[in-house]
Amino acid sequence: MNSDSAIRIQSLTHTHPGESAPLLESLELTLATGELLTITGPSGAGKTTLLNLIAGLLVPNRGSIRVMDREMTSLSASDRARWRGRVIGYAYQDTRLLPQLDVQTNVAWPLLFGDHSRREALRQAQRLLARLGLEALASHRPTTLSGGEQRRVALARALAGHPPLLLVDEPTANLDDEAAASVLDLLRQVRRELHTTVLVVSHHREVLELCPTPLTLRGGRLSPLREGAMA
Amino acid sequence: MRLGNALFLLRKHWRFHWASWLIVALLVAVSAFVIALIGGATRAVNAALREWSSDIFPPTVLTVRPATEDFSLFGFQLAVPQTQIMRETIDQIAVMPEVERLFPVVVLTFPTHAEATFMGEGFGTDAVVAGIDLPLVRSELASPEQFVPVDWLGGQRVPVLLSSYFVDLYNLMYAQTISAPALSEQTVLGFEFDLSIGESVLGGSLARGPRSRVRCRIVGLTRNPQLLGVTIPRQTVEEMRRWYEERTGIRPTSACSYAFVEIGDTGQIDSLRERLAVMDLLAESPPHVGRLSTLERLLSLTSAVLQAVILGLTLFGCFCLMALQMENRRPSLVFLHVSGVPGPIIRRLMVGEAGIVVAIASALGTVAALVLLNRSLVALTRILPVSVPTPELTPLMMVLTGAVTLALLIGAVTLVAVAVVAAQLRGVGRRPVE
Repeated sequence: MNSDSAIRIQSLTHTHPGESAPLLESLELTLATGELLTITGPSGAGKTTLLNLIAGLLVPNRGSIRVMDREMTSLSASDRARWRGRVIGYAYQDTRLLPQLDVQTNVAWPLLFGDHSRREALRQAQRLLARLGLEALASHRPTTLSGGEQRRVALARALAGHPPLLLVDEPTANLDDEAAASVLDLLRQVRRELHTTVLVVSHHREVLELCPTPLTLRGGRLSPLREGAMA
Repeated sequence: MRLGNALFLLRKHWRFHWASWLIVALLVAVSAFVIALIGGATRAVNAALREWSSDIFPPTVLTVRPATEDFSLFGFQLAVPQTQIMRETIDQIAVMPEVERLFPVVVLTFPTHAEATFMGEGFGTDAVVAGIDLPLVRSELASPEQFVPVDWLGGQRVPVLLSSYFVDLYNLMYAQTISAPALSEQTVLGFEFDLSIGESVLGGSLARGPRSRVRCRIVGLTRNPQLLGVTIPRQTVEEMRRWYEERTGIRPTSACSYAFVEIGDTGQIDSLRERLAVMDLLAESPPHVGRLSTLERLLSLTSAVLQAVILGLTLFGCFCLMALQMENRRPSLVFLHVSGVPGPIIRRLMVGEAGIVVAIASALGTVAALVLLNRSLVALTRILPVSVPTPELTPLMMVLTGAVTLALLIGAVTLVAVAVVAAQLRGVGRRPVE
C-alpha cells in the first residue's frame, strides 16, 4: 500500500439499485497526497457517483476505496460519516448555502456540530475566508452574492474543518467565464496554500486545465484524456 | 457536540422555521388544553360521584324493611304482615353472622309540626321526624359531637340533620315565590326552629293527643335520599315516643320503621337476604349504586374516546406539518450529511427541536386548562343546588391530569417527530447528492 496516496481505488464496481448494468466497473484510481486531479466525462457517466463513493456517501458493490489510508468500504455508516467529517471536504454542484445566515456563519456551520465552541468556529471561518480572499463577503447573506461568489463561499465551507482532501463537483456549472475563472483561481490557491489534495469532476474545458493529466470517465472506467478530446 | 452549540443551533432552527413551529405549538397547546379539560372534568365529576355514592350508598350497607306486597297497578303497596320491625327481630338480625353493625331507624308515630321565623316572617310545615345513630351520619356532620341526645324536655336544643333537598326546594322555587334570598349550606347550619309534637296542619283532626314544643338546631345537611325530613338522634325519638305513649295510654313499643345493616363485604348479600326472607324482611341495596357506577363508566369511556380522537387529529396534523417542514429542510440535511455530521447527532438535534416546542406548548395548554377548570368548578360550587354532589379538582387530580396529558402529547408527538426525521434521514442517505 502506498501511504502517500490520498485516494486509492481498486477494482471498484458499482451498480445503482434497480439497474442491471454497472455504472462503474473495475475502476482503478490513485491520487497522491497534495495533487490536483480533474476527471471529465459525459453526463450520466458516473462522475458524481464516483465522488459519492469516495466520500463514503454510497457503498460500492465490489472493490476497495481507501481514503487517507482508511478503507471506506469496511466502515459503518456512522464511522464513514465521522471519517468524512475529519478528512474530506465536499463541495457539490448545488451550493445549498443557508439563506438565513451570513457567509461567516455558513462557513462555520458544520464546525458547530463538532467539538468547536461557537466562538472558535466563527474565528476559524473568519480566518479561512481571509486566507481565501473572501473576507469582504463575511457579513453578506448568500442571497446577495453572485453565482461565482456563492460557489467560492461553498468551497470555503467545504474547507472549514481543514480537510486534507477536497472533492469538488462541477465547480463552474452555470457560471459565466469571469465567475468560473475566479472559482478556478480559488481551487489553485487551495492546493498551493493549504496543500489540500483536490479531486474535481467537471465536463467544462477550462476546469480540465487545472491539471496536466486529466482523466475521462467512460464505460465505467477511467482513462487519460486524449489531446483535443474536449475541444 | 457542545451544549452551547446545540442551544445556538436550536435557536437558529426555530427562527428559520418559526411559522411551521408556531402552528405545531398552537395545535399541541389547544389539544393539551382540551385533553386536560376533559380529563380533569371527568376525574372531578367521577370522584364527586364516587364520594357521594360511597358516603350515601355504601355498597356494604343495606336497608332492611318489612316485606311488602306490590300493588303498584293500583298505585300503592301493602305492608304484609307488619309495618315495623320489632325489637326482638332487631336483636335477631344483629347477631346474624353477616351483620357487622345494625342501625335501627325509629320514626315519630304521631303528628309533628315544624315552625320557624325567618326574616321576621313565621313559617310552618308538618314534618317527618326520624331517629338514627350517629355512626351512620358521622361523615355528613361538620361537628359530630353535636349530634347527641339532649334534655329536650328541659329546653335544650335538639340537634337536627336536615335533608339538603329541603334547602334546594327552598332555593330553587320557594325563595322566588316569597321574594326571599337563597340560602347557602353555611347559612342553614345553626338555624333554629321549633318542633311542635302532637300538632299537625296537614293532618287536621288526626292531632288529638298531648302536645309539646321542642327547640331544635340544624347541625348538618344530608344528601341521603333515604333520610328525607328531620333526622335527630334515635334516643331522642324514642324518648319522645315514650313521652307521647305515656300520655295517650298506648302500649309503649320499641319498634323501628326500618334499619340500616352493615355487612363485611358485598359477597354476603345473598346469604343475608335468604335469612331475612324467612323473617318476612327485605334487604335492599340502594338502586342508585348501580346507576351511578354505570354513569361513571359511561363518563370515563366517553372522555377517553374524545381524548383519543383529539390526540389522533393532533398527531395527524403534527405529522403533516413536520413532514412538510422536513422536506423543506432537506438541502440543509444533505449538507450536514455530506459534511460528516453523524446521523444520530442530526436526529437528536431535530427531535429535541420538536420535543422542546411540544413540551412547552403542552405545558402551557395543560396549565391553562387546569386553571380554567378549577375556577369553573369553584364557580359551579356556588350555583349548584346543595343536594347535588359538587365536583372538586384536588391537587392530586391536577397533578395526575397534567402528567397524563403531558405524557400523552409529548410522548406521541415526539414519536411522530422521531418517525418523520428518521424517514427523511433515510431518504437523504439513499440519495445524498444528485
